[in-house]
Amino acid sequence: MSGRLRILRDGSGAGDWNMERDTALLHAHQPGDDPILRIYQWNPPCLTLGYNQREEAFAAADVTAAGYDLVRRPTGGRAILHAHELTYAVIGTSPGPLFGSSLHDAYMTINRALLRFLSGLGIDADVSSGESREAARSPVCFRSAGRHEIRVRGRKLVGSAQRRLRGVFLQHGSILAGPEHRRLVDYLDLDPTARAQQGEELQAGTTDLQEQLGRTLEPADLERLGDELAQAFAAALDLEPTSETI
Amino acid sequence: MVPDDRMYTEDHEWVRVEEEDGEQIGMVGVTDFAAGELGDVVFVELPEIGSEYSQKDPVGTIESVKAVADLFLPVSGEVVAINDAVVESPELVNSDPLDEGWLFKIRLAEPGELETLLDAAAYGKLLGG
Repeated sequence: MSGRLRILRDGSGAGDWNMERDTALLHAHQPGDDPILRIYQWNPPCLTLGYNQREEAFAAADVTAAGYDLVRRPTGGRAILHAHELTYAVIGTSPGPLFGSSLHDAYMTINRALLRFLSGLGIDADVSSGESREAARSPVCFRSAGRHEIRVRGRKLVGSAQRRLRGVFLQHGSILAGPEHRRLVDYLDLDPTARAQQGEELQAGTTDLQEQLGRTLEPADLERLGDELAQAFAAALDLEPTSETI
Repeated sequence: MVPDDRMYTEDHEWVRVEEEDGEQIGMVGVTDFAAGELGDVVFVELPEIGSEYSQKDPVGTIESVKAVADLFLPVSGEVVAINDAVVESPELVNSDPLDEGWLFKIRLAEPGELETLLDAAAYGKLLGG
């Protein structure tokens, strides 16, 4: 063991709280501090937009009328509907010995931990290698498997994004647990035909833990999976896990 | 090869200072290294013209397909111009980060701060060259 991994199990929270907490942890982090792994979920479901994404792509009034939160992430990329998923956030030092010298190295290191977690569940996943600038302009994040995303036989299971400050970074990501995230397309400001097409692409291009495991995942199951995720990160990073609240 | 006509920061930004109407105006951009590290840039968020900042203040962001990176002001001053072309075509940050992909210009408030930055040789060393 070469150091500590601070693990924060935050349970389910509102969208603005979740994103403010990730942002606050990032801004409080100093280069060389022990890395943090935060594991959390969303209640109510929440549609997050990328940091620079145009809100006009979505019918915001419909989102809130459905009882969902609508917030902006501190990270880039496109929209996600966080409904039935396990969400992780890593806050660490980069460049540095643990997460390497580059953005790419940090993704690789964290992907190693995610793949270890999935492998422990018997899921044979891999990492996608490329995304075009055009695909990045689609309003729906999970519609395309970009560089560094985790897939199972070509279908995206985990989507991640980074924010980088001076010497420190935040990477958070969604491990899809069920298919509810696909309802995102219902709120796209598009005509019905185009919306249906996006929905079909999202269905064909994504998978989730329930589908892979062949069983329903209840909240208690996700709690246990959170434990396994924390253990996989600690083992993959060769760090001693310490649970705490900040 | 790191061009020696400008100064650099540890955040992988550059500032090239020119005299305009008796004032020192610094053109700011990101380095080749930063552009390569980020990958395909899809959005730049730049400060407003007329706003004033201190050295190292966060003033905007660059978003690539996989990360949002904050921009920090290399030296204190007032923003006097932004590069509309790079807002319209963020890919200029990748294709020509040191020239056409410049981001904004500042009127230097404290020209002495330039001495706190890295020259080409020091920045080259930071990159491991």
